[in-house]
Amino acid sequence: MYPHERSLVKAMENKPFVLLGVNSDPSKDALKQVIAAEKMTWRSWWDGGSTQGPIATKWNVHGWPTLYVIDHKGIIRHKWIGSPGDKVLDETLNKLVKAAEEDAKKTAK
Amino acid sequence: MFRSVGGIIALLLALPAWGYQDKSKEKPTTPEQQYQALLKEENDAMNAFQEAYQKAKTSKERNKIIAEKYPRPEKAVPKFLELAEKYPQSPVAVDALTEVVTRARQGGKDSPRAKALAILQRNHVQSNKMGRICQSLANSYGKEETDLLRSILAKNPSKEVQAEACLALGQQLGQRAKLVRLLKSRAELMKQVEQVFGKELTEELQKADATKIDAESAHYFEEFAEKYAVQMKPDRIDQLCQGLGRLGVSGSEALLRAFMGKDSRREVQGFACLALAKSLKNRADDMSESKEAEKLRQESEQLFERAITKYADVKLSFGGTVADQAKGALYELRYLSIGKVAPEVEGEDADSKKFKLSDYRGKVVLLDFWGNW
Repeated sequence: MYPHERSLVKAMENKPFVLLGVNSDPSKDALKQVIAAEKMTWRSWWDGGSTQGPIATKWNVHGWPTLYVIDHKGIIRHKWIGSPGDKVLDETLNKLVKAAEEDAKKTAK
Repeated sequence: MFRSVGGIIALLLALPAWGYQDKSKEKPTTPEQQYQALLKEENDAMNAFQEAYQKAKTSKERNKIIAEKYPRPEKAVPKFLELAEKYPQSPVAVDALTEVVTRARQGGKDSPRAKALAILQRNHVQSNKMGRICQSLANSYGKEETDLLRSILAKNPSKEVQAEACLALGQQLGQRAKLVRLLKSRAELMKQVEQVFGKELTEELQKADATKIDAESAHYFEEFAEKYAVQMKPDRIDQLCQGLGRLGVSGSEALLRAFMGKDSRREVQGFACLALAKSLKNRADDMSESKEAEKLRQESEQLFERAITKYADVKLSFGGTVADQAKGALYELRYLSIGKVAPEVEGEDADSKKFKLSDYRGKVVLLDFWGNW
């Protein structure tokens, strides 16, 4: 998952897109190590050190990874338990990013 | 629908191919001892893998350990098959072939899995050991598996084994119908499915009629509710209900309704109430947004509420109580369904800096719940 996430973040660099993680590793130091080792350029909340952290519990997450796609208006548009595959992920995100860009143009006018 | 099957496919594809190595050792004498020795060999390898995996720090190290040490279940298939073919009539053959079927992928007519199913069909449908394999067959998609389950149901003298076969038929056919629908609605998954299940089965699934298979599945669930449900022990029903809740096929919901309405055991009513609520929710999540999906969600919500008011303290075998699971699911249904405004996420990053989800309004967010373990 990490390599694709890296290239995804790179490809979307100047677009209205952000990847945010909710991490269940045991400590902030453990999280820091992974971020360095995997060259992660995106932010993650550290969720209290377990899979039963406050964020995962509130979001009723029982499988990892769980992915939510939220559009530019803050609406939940997709969710997957387990990755749906790079292709589906890219297509879904591109479509929503395009819509966000068009909306931004409209308000600019 | 995509979620569960896609996850399984992703998992299977993630594991690299690995050849079978024959280590000729001095073999124990009786068939039973030989079988136990094979099992031990596999367990030892799995333990060694897990130990090494837990010690690994980066994903690179982990991938290396998976490639080098993961004892792919499939790898042991020839050994178990060889044992069964040596003693095809012995009760040990049932155990060994159960391992083959549990471990081997779907394949063509000459695959180890097909051979195992054929031996079981020929020699063992009446064996009192066939209960265990029913659960493994429940999690499959092929016609040969359906045929074997039908033979077990028709010919096995044990009521307990019959019950497992009847149930497995409902589950297997329901799952098959789901995959048929998935292939119809998302043709791009064809290749992935073919890689996992082989060409023969994929072509067969493409031609199949999901509505018809669903009806057959529902028939077996009804038969189970009528004939076998009462004799089944609560802990097995608990396990079953958890599976059916995840599976989310309409045919099984009649059985869950029967458990809820007709079974006098309170814990059974509780398991079923929770599972039915989950099943309805899963079916709604698999649909595109529609009035039907909305209706399913409404009933699901009512059932979660009922589970909380009536069965809150009923304990579940995988941990927690009915209320624990129902509360989380109810929140998800109300606030985390597709189309809802995402709830706020607030917290700190690795550097203890505070940030929140709403800081990113105006951008598309991919929110990834992950862990490096």
